Amino acid sequence: MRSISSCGALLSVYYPQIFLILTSGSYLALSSVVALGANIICNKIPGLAPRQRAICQSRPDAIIIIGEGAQLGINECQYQFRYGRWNCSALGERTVFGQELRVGSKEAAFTYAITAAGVAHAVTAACSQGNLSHCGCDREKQGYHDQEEGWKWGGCSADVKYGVEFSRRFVDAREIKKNARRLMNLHNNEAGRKVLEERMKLECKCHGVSGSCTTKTCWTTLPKFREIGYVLKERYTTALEVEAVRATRFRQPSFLRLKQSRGYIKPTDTDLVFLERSPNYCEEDTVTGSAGTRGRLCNHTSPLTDGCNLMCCGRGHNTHQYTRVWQCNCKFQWCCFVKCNTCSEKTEVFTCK
Amino acid sequence: MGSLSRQAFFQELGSGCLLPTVQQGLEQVWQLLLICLVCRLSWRLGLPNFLKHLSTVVGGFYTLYLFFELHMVWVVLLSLLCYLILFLCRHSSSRGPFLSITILIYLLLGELHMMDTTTWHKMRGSQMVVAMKAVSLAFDLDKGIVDKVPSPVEFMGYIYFVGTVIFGPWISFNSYMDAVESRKLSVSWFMKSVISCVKSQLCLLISNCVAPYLFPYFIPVFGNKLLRKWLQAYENSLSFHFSNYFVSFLGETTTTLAGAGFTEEKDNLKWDMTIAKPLYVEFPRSMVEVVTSWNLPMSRWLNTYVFRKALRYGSFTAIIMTYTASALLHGLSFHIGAVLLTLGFITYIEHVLRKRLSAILNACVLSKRCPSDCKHRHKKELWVYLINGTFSMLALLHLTYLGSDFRPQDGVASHTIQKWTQLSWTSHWLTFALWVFYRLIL
Repeated sequence: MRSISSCGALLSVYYPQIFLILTSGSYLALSSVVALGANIICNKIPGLAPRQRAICQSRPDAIIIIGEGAQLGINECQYQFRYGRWNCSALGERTVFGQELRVGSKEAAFTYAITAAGVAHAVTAACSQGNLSHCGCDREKQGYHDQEEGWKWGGCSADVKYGVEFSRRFVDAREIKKNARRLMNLHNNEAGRKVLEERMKLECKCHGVSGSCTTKTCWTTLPKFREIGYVLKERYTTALEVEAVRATRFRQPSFLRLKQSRGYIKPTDTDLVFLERSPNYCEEDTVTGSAGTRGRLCNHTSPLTDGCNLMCCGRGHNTHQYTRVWQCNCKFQWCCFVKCNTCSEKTEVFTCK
Repeated sequence: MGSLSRQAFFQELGSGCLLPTVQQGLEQVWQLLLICLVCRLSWRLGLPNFLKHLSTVVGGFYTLYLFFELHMVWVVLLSLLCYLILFLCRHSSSRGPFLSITILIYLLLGELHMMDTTTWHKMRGSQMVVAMKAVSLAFDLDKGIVDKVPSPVEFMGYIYFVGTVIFGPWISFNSYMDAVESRKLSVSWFMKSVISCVKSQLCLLISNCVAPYLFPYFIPVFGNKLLRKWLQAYENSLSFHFSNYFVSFLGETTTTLAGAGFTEEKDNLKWDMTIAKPLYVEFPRSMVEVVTSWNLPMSRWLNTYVFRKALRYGSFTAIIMTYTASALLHGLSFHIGAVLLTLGFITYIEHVLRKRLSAILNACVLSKRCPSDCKHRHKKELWVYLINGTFSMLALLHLTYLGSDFRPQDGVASHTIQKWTQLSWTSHWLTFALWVFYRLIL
């Protein structure tokens, strides 16, 4: 009896300490695993510039969002150019932002703009959904009163400024060379982000007797990213050719000037700009990064860019014929079986030679 | 990482949504509340009735201007038109129907010709309250409940009563005259005001910050594609419900603060104004209960001045006319008209079906709860609860379906139809099925 009692007392004394040791051990192990994981992940991502790698290591929670944003941009790019010779593909080094286009062309301009906008969009969305620490709803909207509209901010406004700033810090960090291409890339990145900011939407909720709108609470929301894609596609068609200007001889290029102008006219913030004429994208060319149109599907009756004449650059196209066979016109015969006819359909698929 | 993001979400929700919503909620209504309080206090000064009416007219005008600015002239025009009709027809015994027709024409003209949709949509609530007050006064005059046409200042005091002019609710003319007598300030009066105010802000928070994120942040249910549609519809519906409760509790606050909204029974005064019963809507017994609990004063108004007068044409016709009147009061919105008409059919079919089931099964399965002394044989059996529970679930489904597309800038017919198509016209089909079942058991 005495022995049992003392044993119980011993357990009750020791148990809290054991629990504490286990808990702190788990905690230490957990945090070291997280830190180790972040380093491994950041080092394994191809094509990150040194500053980008540093941001990745300090904000591992954001890198996933950034990857999703970049992918969002690439997917939108491929959608917008799905019928063209250039379909948002390129030879060259594979990076988190897709393959880099070597020629400073209109296509490169679009790619950089849509990717920067995609990252900003994804970060802003993650903030609103509470998936990113250090950011949330737009605090500037608190207490804001629009005198003319008569409504006031409420709800959770998407913090697009945070998303844009984060995109600026990360995406622009890959520009490490001091040359004209850097100026072009920075300009186009910013143009993409500006388009996103311009397209933010205002949503309101009405409160009033029986659903009337006596009073409102309002907040801003992100547009669908496809809308951004369409806007940037329009900017792409009116992109401006520019050249870099040096402030003085022997200095690095300091700003961009419209090439066709007679003076030093600069492009506007939301123009897309390019330095070099586009290649024709007909042939595979490692120098320009063109993937070529060989093997691409085309439409042999279309006069537009997806037509075989234009898509294949006059090389002609191959025709592949397929025959599909299926049972049709089935009828029940008395008694007792089902009889069907055999139907077939021929389809042709055209690919560039 | 998942739990971290959830915690981060709630932190951000607090600072980014709860705080600004409360701030904006109070910021928009503090002046209205202050004017109601000032009006109440001034009425306690022993002023002659003339000045009491005048003070609430001034307060009412000021709050109308606060919320609608110069567009308030439309409300003023409507009230002047109403008084003109009442005065010109003071010797007639059909003032009710005549005034109703006049108001209907005014509202339709306003909707179709006089101004843009956004502005009309904004002040629709106040127009509705004014119209209801004028119509009820006219019918009460016809019946002798009010013995003579009130003086202009009395009429305007009633119409512009600062406690009800912006967020409602409708109160009868006699209730207003009772309020003018000005009951003593008391702890129960003050507590009623404060509690209703707190409730209204709470409902606003739920409407803005909880309902839109209900799934999966507050309730971790993810669901497949089909279920997600219904979960999202429920979120929208819940958000709309609590927006309504916000306005209802706000109406309770302003009405009580201004000195109306009490019942008196042998020197026992109770400040017990109730506009909406949220629990009866969110956990409904039937759609009939939902409809009456949504806005009690409006429900009383429709019952007294529309349903009972239309009952001589048959109960089905009376119900449809009641819902039509309700829709017209809400303005020419296809969406609201469609919802209310659908609601009318749903409630009618449920009512007659449950009545029939109650007779056949001799059980307490009516749309409204049986009193304790009812003569049904089966009251607390398990299958009685099951039947009632099934109808409750049906009501929840109907509410989700009907409330799923209440959004600020609606008004396009195709949007309502598109939303209902997304949900496969479920409530319409279910209602049709119940009607077929009802015909089968006749």
